[in-house]
Amino acid sequence: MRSHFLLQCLIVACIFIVAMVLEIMPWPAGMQSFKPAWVVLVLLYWVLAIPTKVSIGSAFLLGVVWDLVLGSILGVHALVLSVFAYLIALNYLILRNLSLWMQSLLVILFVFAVRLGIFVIELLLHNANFNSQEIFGAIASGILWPWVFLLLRKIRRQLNLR
Amino acid sequence: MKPIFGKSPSLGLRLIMAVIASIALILSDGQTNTMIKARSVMETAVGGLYYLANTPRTVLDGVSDNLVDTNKLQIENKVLREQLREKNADLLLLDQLKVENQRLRLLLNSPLRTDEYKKIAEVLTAETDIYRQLVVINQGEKDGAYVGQPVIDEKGVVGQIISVGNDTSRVLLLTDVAHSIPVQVLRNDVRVIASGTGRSDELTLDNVPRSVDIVKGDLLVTSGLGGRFLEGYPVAVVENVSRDGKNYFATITAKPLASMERLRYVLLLWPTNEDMHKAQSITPEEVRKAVRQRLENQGAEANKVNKTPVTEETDSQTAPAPAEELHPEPPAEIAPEPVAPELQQYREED
Repeated sequence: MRSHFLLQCLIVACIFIVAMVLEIMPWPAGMQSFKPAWVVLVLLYWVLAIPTKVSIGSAFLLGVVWDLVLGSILGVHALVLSVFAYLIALNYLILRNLSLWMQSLLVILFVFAVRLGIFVIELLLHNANFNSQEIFGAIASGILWPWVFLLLRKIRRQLNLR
Repeated sequence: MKPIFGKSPSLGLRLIMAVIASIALILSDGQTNTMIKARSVMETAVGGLYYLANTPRTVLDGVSDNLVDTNKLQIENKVLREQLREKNADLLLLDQLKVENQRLRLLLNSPLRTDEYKKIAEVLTAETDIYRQLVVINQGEKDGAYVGQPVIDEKGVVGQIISVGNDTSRVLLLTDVAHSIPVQVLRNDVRVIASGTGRSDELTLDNVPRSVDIVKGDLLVTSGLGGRFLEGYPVAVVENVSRDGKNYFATITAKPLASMERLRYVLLLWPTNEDMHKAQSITPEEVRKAVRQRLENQGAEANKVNKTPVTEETDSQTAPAPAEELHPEPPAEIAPEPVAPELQQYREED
C-alpha cells in the first residue's frame, strides 16, 4: 500500500518533469508564439482531478522550479501559478462537469490570464513589452486540452488515483 | 489514531501563505549572498533538464551527420581546406601586426595586450523567460565559468554570464533590457553606453548629446571600461541616428553584430589575470602618478602626440589618443590632464 502511494507520487512528478522539459524544448523560430503552455495544462488537469492532493502547495513548488528553469526572478511564476491553482481548486466541481469543448474554451482564457499575470509582474519588476501574439499560444493550448485531458485521465485510471 | 492535522488548512489560508512566500522570494532574489548561493545550488539541480530537453536535437544532429553522402563531404572538405588556407595567410599577417602593435605600445608606454584564453560553449536552450533575453550554455563552474564572464561569437560580443551552475550557466544577452555595455565608435573613439531594448536586433545608445559625431554605419567596439569586457571586440553597427530638435539627446539605435536568435556556438573568454587585477585595484592617485611619470619619460614626444580627451567623461577619465590616430583634428575641449589607459578599465559597469 505504502509503495503504491510512492509510485503514484513518482509518476505524477514525472509527468510534471515531462511538461517542464516540453516547455524548454527548442521550438521553430517562426512558430514561437504558437507554443502551448504545457505546464499550465498539466497543472490544471491534476488540480481538477485530485484537488485534495495537488493544489496550491504543489503549484507553488512547480512555479519555483519553473522560475529556476526559465531564469526569471524567483517567485514570479510561483505567485501566478498559486493564484491560478486557488481559483481552480475553488471551482473544480463546476469545471469538472463541463463538456470537453467548453473546458477547451475556458483553457484558452486561463492560459491567456496566466500569461497576462506573468507579464504584469514582470512589468512591475522591470520594463517589458507585451506580445499580443500570446493569444495564439493560448489558442494552441485550448486545442491541445482534450488530448492532454484524455491522456492524463488514462494514466490516472491506470494508477487508480483518487 | 487521528492525525494531528486531520484537516489541512483551508484553501484561502494556503493561498495567503503561498502569495506571501512568493512575494518574499521576489523581493529577496539576488539581494543577498546567501540567496545567490542558494539559487546557484538549485540551478545545478535543474541543470539536467536542459540536457534532457536538448536530446532530440543532439540525436537528430547525429543522425543527419551519419546520413551525409561522401560526395557532399568531399566538396565540403575542399571548401574548408581552401578557407583554412586563406585564413592561415591572413594569420601570418596578423602575427606580424601583433608584434608591430606591441612595439608601438611599448613606444607609447601603454600596457601590452596579451592573448586571452578562449573556449567554445554550446547553447543548450534559448527558450527561457520571454521577457528576458537569456540563453543557457553547456559550460559551468566545473569548466571554470564565472559570473560576469564575457561571451562572444565569431561575429561580435554576445553578452555576459549572470549565473553559474555546476554544468550549465546562464548568459544575459546584450539585447536584454537590463544589460548595458560600454562601447566606443571605432572611427573616432567617442565613448558611449549601449543598452538592450528587449528586442533581439536592437540596441540603443544612451544619453548621447546631439552634437556628437556618430553616423549611420559606424562600428561600435567594446571600450574596455568597467573591466568586464575586453577592449576592442566588435559589438554593433549604428543603424539609425535621429537628432530631433526637441530633444537634448540624439536617438541612436544600433544592430548587434552577433545574431541573437540563431546562437548555437559561442566563445567564453578568460581575460588574463593582470587585466582583471588592474581594473579592480587601481586608484586615481596611482593613475595620476603613472601619468606624470609617463609624461616625463615622453618629454618632447608628448608635444607631438595629440591627446584626445573624451568629452562626456568625468574629470580624470580621459585617455591619450594613440599615435596612429587617423583623425588628427584637435578636439573641442582640452582636458586638464591626460590619464593612463589603465584607467579606461576603472569604471563601474552597469
